[in-house]
Amino acid sequence: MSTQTTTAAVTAAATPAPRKPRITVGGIGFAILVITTCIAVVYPFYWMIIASFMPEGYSIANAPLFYPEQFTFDTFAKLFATRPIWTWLLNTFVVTIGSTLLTIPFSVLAAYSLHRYRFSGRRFVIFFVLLTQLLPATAIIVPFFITFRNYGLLDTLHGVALAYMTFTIPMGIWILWGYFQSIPLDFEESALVDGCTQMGAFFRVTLPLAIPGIAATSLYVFLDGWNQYLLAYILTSSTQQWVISLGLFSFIGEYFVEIEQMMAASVVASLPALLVFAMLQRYMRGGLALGGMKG
Amino acid sequence: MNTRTKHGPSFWSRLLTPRGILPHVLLAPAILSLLIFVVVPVIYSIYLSFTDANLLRFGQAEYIGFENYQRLLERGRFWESLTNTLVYTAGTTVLSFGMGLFTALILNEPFRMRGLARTLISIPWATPWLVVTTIWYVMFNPQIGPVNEVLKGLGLIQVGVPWLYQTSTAMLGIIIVTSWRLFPSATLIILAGLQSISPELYEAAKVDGAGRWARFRHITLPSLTSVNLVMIVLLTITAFKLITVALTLTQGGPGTATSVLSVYTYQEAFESNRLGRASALATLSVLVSGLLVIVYFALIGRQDREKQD
Repeated sequence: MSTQTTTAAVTAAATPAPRKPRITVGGIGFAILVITTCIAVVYPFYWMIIASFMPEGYSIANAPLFYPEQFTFDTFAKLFATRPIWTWLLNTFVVTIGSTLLTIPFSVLAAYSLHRYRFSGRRFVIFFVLLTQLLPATAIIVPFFITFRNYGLLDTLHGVALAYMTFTIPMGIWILWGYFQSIPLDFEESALVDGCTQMGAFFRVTLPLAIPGIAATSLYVFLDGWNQYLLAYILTSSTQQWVISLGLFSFIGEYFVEIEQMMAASVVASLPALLVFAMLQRYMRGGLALGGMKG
Repeated sequence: MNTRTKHGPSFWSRLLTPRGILPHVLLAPAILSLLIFVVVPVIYSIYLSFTDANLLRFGQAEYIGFENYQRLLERGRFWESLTNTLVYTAGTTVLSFGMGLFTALILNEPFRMRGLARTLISIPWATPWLVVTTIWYVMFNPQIGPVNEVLKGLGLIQVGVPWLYQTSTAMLGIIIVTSWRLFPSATLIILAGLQSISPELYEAAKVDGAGRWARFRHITLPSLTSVNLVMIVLLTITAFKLITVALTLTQGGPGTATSVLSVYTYQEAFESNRLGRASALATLSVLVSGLLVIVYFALIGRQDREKQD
């Protein structure tokens, strides 16, 4: 836009009138840029989906780029028939939901305390929580392996769920702390004036208001667990105790990699994560803004 | 509750006040679990780093002083893994930040179906890490991999490149893969930063005759400085501690080409069985990430002060 049209543009912006899209060279160039970027970003994911519907060996024979000429559900059928996919999915659900349930109550209480009170050592606690969140997992795998072995926790699902808490608790505290800051103190204060105890005010007023934040945090923690690999890899050994990421990795280790099946398994492993991610997006847009305080 | 107001608060509710021990009681469960799951293991790991603990003979670890550290520092392998970590971390940070900034600038323009574009660009972020590995394992496949097919189609290469199987390209490969997965988080955060810039600034600049590039250079970039800095440090920390891609996609190879510090630690512990030396490596990486956290904290502190001003 040239400088001469500026005044016109400003008045147009001041009185919002429906503008008709004009087709310009710049506009077409921009559209091409947007479309190319989106295709480049999504393409690997798209290829995974089409490959999961290809008949076995098709991708090696034809190296299709955009769409397969043959289309089948057999790959999925064979995948579920030949590998314990259901067991792996169930294990992953047990471990991630287990660690979420362990994480959330502890994190809610801690985040509330950090938000509501100024006590000595508070800054240290905050620093410590951030520090643990950024700790590399390799820093703790050896002690975990030895301790879990001594307590008979190796190759158990509850052992893996406990291990995930190392990273989910600081993460939960961090996100919830941010969320509590968006809840106005006025609600709780009026409850206190009305004769509520401190804890009563928390459970009756603040906690119900924090439910969207708690839900969003649970989804985050769940996603983190779904993404985990290293801890489960070190702490479990038998196929029956694997989580889905170990199952996926087992394809790559094989002498002859069945690409279509591997992609079908990847689609299956992605679905819960995509679903949870989509739910999180809703929270990011609307739910996280509070509408309780009007005027 | 009514009875309490009549008779005054009980002993416990008086103790459990903001001025009493209530804040600490609320914190206790979380802090206790962090002590058990983080502090104790890290201290145990530091202790192990001074022993010759081995996976094959448990319970016979002997104190050997600084030998593990000495051996590591003498070894080319350690320095190589450190260099690999530096390249991987820097490469991933630069690439994912660049892609994040680029896509955020695109998504900041108004156009039809912007919501769709935003969703599509978020997809890698929602993809589980091991699916990222399986997808890119195929993408980079020398025989059928679409990456080679596309490059051939564009006439850039004649023969398929074994991206992940040769020393010269394996590191580039895992940097691309990691950035693909990480950049959408940068996109959304930078986009939020862009949308918080007041449109009046741009209008004023336009009135003063500033062109598109001048507006970008003198309004957009300076306004984003603090968001960008925090994003860069966050990406650095993420890439530094990330092990999954290097461990599953290339398994540190070919040779030691993608053996970053975390992969080297894993290999020392569970492939060479030297738990003591692995613990020494773990201790060193905790020190490095501690340094990164201090930088991060300094930046956040600066941002808070700017907000208060």
